[in-house]
Amino acid sequence: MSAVERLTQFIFIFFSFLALLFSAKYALHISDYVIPSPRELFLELPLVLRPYLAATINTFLVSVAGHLFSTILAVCVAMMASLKSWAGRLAKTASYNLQAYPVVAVSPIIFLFFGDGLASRIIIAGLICYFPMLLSFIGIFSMPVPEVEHFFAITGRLTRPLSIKIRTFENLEKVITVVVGSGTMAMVGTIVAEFLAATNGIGYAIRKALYQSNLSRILIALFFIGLVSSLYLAALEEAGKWLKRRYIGA
Amino acid sequence: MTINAKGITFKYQGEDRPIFEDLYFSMEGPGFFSLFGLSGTGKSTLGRIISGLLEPNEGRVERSTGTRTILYTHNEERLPNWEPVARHLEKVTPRQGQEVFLRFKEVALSGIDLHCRFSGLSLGQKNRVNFARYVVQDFDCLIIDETLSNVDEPTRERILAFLKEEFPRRTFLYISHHVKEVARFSKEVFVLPWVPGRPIKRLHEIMGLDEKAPVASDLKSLKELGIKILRKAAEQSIHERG
Repeated sequence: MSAVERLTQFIFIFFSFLALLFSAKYALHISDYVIPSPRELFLELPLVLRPYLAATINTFLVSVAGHLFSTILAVCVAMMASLKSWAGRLAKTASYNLQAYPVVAVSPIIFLFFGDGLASRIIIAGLICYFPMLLSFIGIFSMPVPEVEHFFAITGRLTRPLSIKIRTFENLEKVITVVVGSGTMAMVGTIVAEFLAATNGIGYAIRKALYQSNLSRILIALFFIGLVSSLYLAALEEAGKWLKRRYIGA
Repeated sequence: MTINAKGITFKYQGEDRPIFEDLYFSMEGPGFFSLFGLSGTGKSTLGRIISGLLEPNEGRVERSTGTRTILYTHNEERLPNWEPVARHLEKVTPRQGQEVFLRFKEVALSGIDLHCRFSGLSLGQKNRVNFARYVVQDFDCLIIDETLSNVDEPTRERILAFLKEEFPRRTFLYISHHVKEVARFSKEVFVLPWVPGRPIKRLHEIMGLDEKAPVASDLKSLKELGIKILRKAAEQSIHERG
C-alpha cells in the first residue's frame, strides 16, 4: 500500500470517527465539557499545533529506536532459542515466560532503574513490540530449508550464521510482514511509556490533556499519532518492497 | 573406491513397511554406475544412505580406505537468491576446481545469463547451475539423483559424456528414469527390487548379457534396449509381488 493510500485511509477513518463522535454528542445532548464542539476543536488546533507536532516527532524517533532495539533483541534471542541445545531450550522457555508479564506491570521497575528519560521509553517501546517478532523469528530460524541448505551441508560449508541467513532470506516475506506490523506496536509502546511516567513526547502531552480534561487536545494528539504512524508504516512497507524486489525478485 | 552396503534395513518414521530389508549392494569404482527402478522402490533413499545423509535402522555402509567425500545431489536443490548465480558459483568453487568449471561452463552453461539470480532461470538452467557447483568440488563419488531431470536430452547427454571424460578416476552413481541414458553411459546398472527383502540385481543379470560387455554393446538400438528393460522390470515386479 502506498503512502498516499495509507494517509487517505487514515484520514477517512479518523474523520468518520469524529463525525460519529459529534453525531453522538448532538443526538444525546452531551455537554461541551465531555465532548468538545467542532468549533472548540478548531480554536484549540493553532494553540497546540507546533508543540504537538514536535512531541509526535519526538515520540516517532524514540519508537524507531525502540523498534530497532526490539528487532535486534528478537533476532538475538531467537537465534539462541532456535538452538537444540539446553541453552536454546532455556532461552525459549524464559522468553515465553517473560511474555506472561504485562509490560505495563513491569514498567515501574524500568522507570526505577532507568529514570523517566529516553532509555525507559526505548526499552518499553521495544518490549511491547518485541514478542510477535520473537515468535516469528524463532519459527523461521528453527525451520531448515533443505533445498538450499543441502549443498552447504554436504560440502561441509554450513555454519550456524549461514543457516540463519538462508532461513531469513527464504522467509523474507514473513520477516518483512512481522517487522512492518510491529512498527505500530513500537509507536504504541512509546506512547504507553510516555503516558505512564516520561516527561516528553505525545504520550506525555495526552497525559497532561487528560488531567485538564481537554478532549480537544487529546483528539488533536490522536490525529498526529495516526498521521505519523501511517507514514512510518508506509515507509517500512516501501523498504520491505525494495528488499523483496532486490532479493527474491518479488 | 569400493562401497559396500551390508544388510541394510530402512523404514521411514510413520510407515508400516520398511523400504529395504536386509539389502546388500556393492559398487566398485571408478566409473559410471546407475541405479534404476520403478517409482517408490527407494532409489533416492539408497542414495541418501550411501552418502551418509540417512542412517539405516540396521546394517552398515562400508567405504574402502581413502574414500573421503561422497556427495549427493538432487533436483529440488536451489541456490540462494541473495546474490547472482555467477557470484555464488565463484564463491563455492575451490581453487582446484576453477579449470573444471571453465570446461563445464562451455559444455553445459552456455546460453545461461549467470549474472541473474537463481529465481530468474528456467527449470533446466536451474538444474545445470546447481550441478555445476557439485562438479567443481573435490569428491570421490558423486550421487546424481535426477539432478538433470529438467535438462533437455542433448545437453544432458553432453554433460554425462563430459563427466566420463573429465573424471575417469572418480565414481558416479546416476539415479534416473531415463532407460536409454542409463544403459548408454553406465558401466553397471543396478535394478532395485520392487518388494523389500529381495536382492538388488544387476542389469546384465536380468537381461542375460555378457558380464564384460557394456550394457548396450550387443543390442541394435538403445530404443529396443529401453523397451526390453522396462518389460523386464515390469515382469520382475509382477513376479515379486507374487
